[in-house]
Amino acid sequence: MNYYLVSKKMLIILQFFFLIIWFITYISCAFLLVPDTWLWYIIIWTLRILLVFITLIYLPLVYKNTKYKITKDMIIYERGVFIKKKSIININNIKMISLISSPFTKIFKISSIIVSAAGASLIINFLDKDTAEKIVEILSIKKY
Amino acid sequence: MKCKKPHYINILQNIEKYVLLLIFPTIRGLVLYKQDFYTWIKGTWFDIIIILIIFYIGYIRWNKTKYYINNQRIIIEKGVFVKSRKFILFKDICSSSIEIPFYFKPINAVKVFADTNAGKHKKKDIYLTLKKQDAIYIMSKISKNSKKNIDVKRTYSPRFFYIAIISFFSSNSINGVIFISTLILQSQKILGKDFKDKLLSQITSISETVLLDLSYIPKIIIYIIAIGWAISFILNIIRYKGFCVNRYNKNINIKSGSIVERNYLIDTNKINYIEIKQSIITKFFGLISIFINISGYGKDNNSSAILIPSTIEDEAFRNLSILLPEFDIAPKQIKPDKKTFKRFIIPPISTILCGVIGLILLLYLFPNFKNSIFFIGIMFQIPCIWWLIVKIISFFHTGIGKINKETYTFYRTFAFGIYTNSINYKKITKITIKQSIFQKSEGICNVCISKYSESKKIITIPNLNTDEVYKIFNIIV
Repeated sequence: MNYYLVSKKMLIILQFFFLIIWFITYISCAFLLVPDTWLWYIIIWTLRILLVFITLIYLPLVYKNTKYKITKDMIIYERGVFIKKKSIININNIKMISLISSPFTKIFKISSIIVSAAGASLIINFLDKDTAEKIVEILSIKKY
Repeated sequence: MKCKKPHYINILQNIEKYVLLLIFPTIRGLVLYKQDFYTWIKGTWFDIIIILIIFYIGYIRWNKTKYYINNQRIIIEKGVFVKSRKFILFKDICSSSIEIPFYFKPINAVKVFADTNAGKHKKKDIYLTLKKQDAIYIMSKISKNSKKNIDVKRTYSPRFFYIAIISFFSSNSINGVIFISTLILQSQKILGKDFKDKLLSQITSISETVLLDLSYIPKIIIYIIAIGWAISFILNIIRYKGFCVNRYNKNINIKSGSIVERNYLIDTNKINYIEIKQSIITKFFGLISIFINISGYGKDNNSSAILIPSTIEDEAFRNLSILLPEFDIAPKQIKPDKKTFKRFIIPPISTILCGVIGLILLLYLFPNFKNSIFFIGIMFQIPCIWWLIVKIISFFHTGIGKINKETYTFYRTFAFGIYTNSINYKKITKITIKQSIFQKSEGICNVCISKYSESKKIITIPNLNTDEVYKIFNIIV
């Protein structure tokens, strides 16, 4: 079985929120600091470099590296850019599967699932609503 | 199902927190100041009414606590305004225990506890104070095995010397400090400010005579740590005195305690994993302690889930195979490569260097406090050097082994302790493989294992070869 990527909307949502935070920080720094001083240049240019790095390199890599796979007996979830994490849960150990809907579910048609076992849990965010429902169904069938 | 009620002493247990704070100050006037009864009543009539109301509330709470038993389950009903009903199947109970404090013996009362894998991880699911015969009846229902069916009974009873060693190493200064500070605070509430002042002045005079030459700050630190540790050591000795483990059929029965007798009943099928613990000192002397993880055992304050207290390695493993043959210790199949040695020692060495630089800086900036700074600096370096030694040992100790296709053994260190865990594959709930960009170039990773338990318990085995990790866990990438 191949790995599946999460919804592409993840990239759009993360970039959207990052841009809002970046914009507020940039405007605050630009107006609050004394212009044309060395501190002003350092902060403004750091923010500009961060904008390019995070939107064009880091967030696309976050999206590319966030993937999951459901095999016959386990569920595997991979994520991370600088520190890669691969989590594996045995389907037999799953005690509860939760499908999470938020106000964003209606707007973006995305959901999250929480796979809970005794002493551990796995959260897969940014799944298409239909895909999330399908995964819950698959896991439920496999378990019972 | 017949409805049963807790022991009458439960009325006092329900109100002990409130009534003790009020009853002693009220009686003090009569006893210490030798007032006549009429003057005493005149001054304390309001307090007496409050005490009577508290007693009445205690009675109501006792009256509303009931339990029902049949062959399959126990139902516990509690609460006055908010009523709760707990339905617990006997087959779901992992561990149960009977506790008999010395002051319960004359009134034939015992405390009964039981716990399942569900519920709050810091609280036991069943807690009742009952008559001894009722408690024994509940325990017989939980144990499933009547004594007639016992196949072979295997017993392990450690020598007092081993109990003293485990108490010595598991004694924690903080527990002792908490105990003594609670004692001082409560003494003021119950026996008045005079008593508290006397107690404090006594403690200060003892500290003055014991410690003479050291400067003020180190004196306080040493004093607090030493007294705290000594109290904790004594409490531990009292707790584990008479420790004895019995195995029959699928049950383990653990007895311990002298002032408060404790009797645990554990279902071996529900044990999540075993943990072998060592420190540098115990490793040097070839001693190990074996702990078990199961819901309910080791949950009480200041207690640990001991199966075999500090014992010589061979003896401990021999007893483990007698008591719990289900848990084997597999030899290491994966261990860190020689080139990863630097990864183990870099964190402690950098901490030591930072400490030395900080010490030099402080001595340069505050030459007047030379003695105190030097003392604190040395005190800071001792755990760092200790940590470095642990990390060097960790390099040789770390690894993973597998036996009988199902049981995994994880060799690791955490803080200053050296651990070995034996877990059945079914009890591993999550495996996380972490790899930083630096580790990726070397083809190594950290393995985090989440274990089946009431709360989140994660163990980390660092710097293992990634391909070997996938192979041992049969993960197809």
